[in-house]
Parts: sequence; structure tokens; C-alpha cells
Amino acid sequence: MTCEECEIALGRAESRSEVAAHLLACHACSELAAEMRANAEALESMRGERFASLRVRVKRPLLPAFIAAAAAVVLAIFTGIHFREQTLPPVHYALAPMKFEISPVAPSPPRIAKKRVRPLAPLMVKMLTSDPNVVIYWQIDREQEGMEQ
Amino acid sequence: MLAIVARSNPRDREFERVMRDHERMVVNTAYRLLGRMEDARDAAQEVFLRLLKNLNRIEGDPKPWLYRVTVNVCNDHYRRRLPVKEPDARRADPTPDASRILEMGDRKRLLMEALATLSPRERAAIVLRDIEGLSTREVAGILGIEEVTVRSQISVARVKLAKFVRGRK
Repeated sequence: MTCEECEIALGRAESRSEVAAHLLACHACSELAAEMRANAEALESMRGERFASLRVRVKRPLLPAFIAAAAAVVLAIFTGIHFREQTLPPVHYALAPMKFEISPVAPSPPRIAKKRVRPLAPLMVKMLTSDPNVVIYWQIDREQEGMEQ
Repeated sequence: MLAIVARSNPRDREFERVMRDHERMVVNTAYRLLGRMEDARDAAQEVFLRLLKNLNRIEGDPKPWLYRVTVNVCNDHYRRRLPVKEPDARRADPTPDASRILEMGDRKRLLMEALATLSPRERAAIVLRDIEGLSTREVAGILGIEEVTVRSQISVARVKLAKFVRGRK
């Protein structure tokens, strides 16, 4: 078996006796085989990796919601007018004399300014589509950026 | 994680479900094919936009369709992309490292570099077969080629990857 034939067999993960015999005799192919085994393991381990997730929101202009909002505004206006027209009875109240007492104030300890760590705001991407009723918002969770490779 | 504002539309709910179930798969595959997370996100966006447009036409499991579109979108993306700077020639020289044993993280990084050196078809075949863990038949179906061709491409790609990594150690 030649090295070229061995490479093809290794690429196909064949485990024939000829391949094994060649690997025993050929150091270069033996190294290549070890490399391929390690690569296969590394590639397989990539399968389970997680990356920053995408958040997608599809927004559609909602006509019924708009009508409901308009109705709510109209209702609020009429209700406001109705309340304004009502006459309220006069309210009598008296204030009791108040006593003020000033106590000595102990000097407060020096305030140490705390450094605020502001969380990364999610990145929002707006995408218009050919459908005028569909707008896609991509919200990328930047908190998980650190997980990226 | 995703949310659809207009939940009254069953099509949107279906889109949400398909996206929730396959988002990770699409982003991961795109990342392996393109090598950059920014590009992978752009590609995933394109894939899901196409999903939104074609949702009614997809019958059964949308996974093969999503894989196929992801590969196509990534290939288009790859072609449009500005040429990536050639790897530093000095790094190609094998360093006289006594152990010659790579840590897993270093190996993965090298493999990501090595994937970029493959042809688009080889790259797609190896990503789907060896990273995504699909069968040869599934890969052939997604790429629209014969199984024997997939086997050949994967075999060649595995040898290329191994030689690339060995050359960089």
C-alpha cells in the first residue's frame, strides 16, 4: 500500500489490515492518522458548543390594536369631561400646631463612589422585508458574547 | 430565545417554533462555514428571512431545508466577502515543539483556520458530516450530490485538515 492510498483510506476511516500494516511501517502516515483521530475528536466536540443566541421579533402593524387604542383615548377624554363637570362638596380641615426638634447630626462617613457596571444592552437590528407588513427585529444577546469562540 | 409580538397569527407561531428549535443549529453551522460570528449572524438572519417567506412550502421536518439554505447562503456570503488576509507564512513553519501535542482549544482554533482553506463543497461536507454529525446520506441530500461524492470530499477534506494542523504545530 502506498502513502497516497493510505491517506485515502484514513480519510474514509477504513480500518483494513493493509492500512494497519502500512501505519506500522510508515511514520509519516502514522502521524497523520494520529492527527486525524485528534481532529475527529475536536470536530465532534464542536457540536455541543453554544454561541450567543439571536432574538427575533416579527412585528406586524396591528389595525385592531390601533382601533382599540383610539377608542381608549376617546373614552378617556369623555370620562375626563364627565368628572370635571361634577361639583365636589367643600372640605374643611384644620392644621394642628407642629413641633420641630433639631438633633445634632453626626458627621457621615465619607462616601465611596461605587463603580457602576452597566450591563451590555442587547443589540437590536431592524430589517425591512419585501412584505410591508413584516418587519424583523434581531435582538442579539450581548451578555453571552463571551461564550463565543 | 425569541418572541413574536403578534401571536394571533398561526403562521407567526409556526415560524417561532421552527426558529426556536433550529436557531442554534443554523447559527452554529453558519459559524463553522464562515469562521466569523458576525458573518454567521448575518447568514442566519438571511436564512430565517427565507424561512419566513417559504414557511408554507416546507413540508415535514424543516431541518434538511434549513441546512440546505444555510449552506447556500453561506456559500453566497463567502463569495461576496472581501478576501481574507493570507495566513502568516512564518506560522506555517513547524516549530520545534518538544511535545507536539495541541491543547483541544488550540486544535479547534487551527481547525477553524483549516476549514477556510477547503473548497466550499468540501467545507460544507465536513461541517455537516463531522461537526453536525449528519449521515452521509443526509449530507448528500442536503448538498444535492451523490453519496459517493460526499465520501470522497470528506476523505479529501479530513486529510487536508490533518496536514494543515500538522504543518502549524
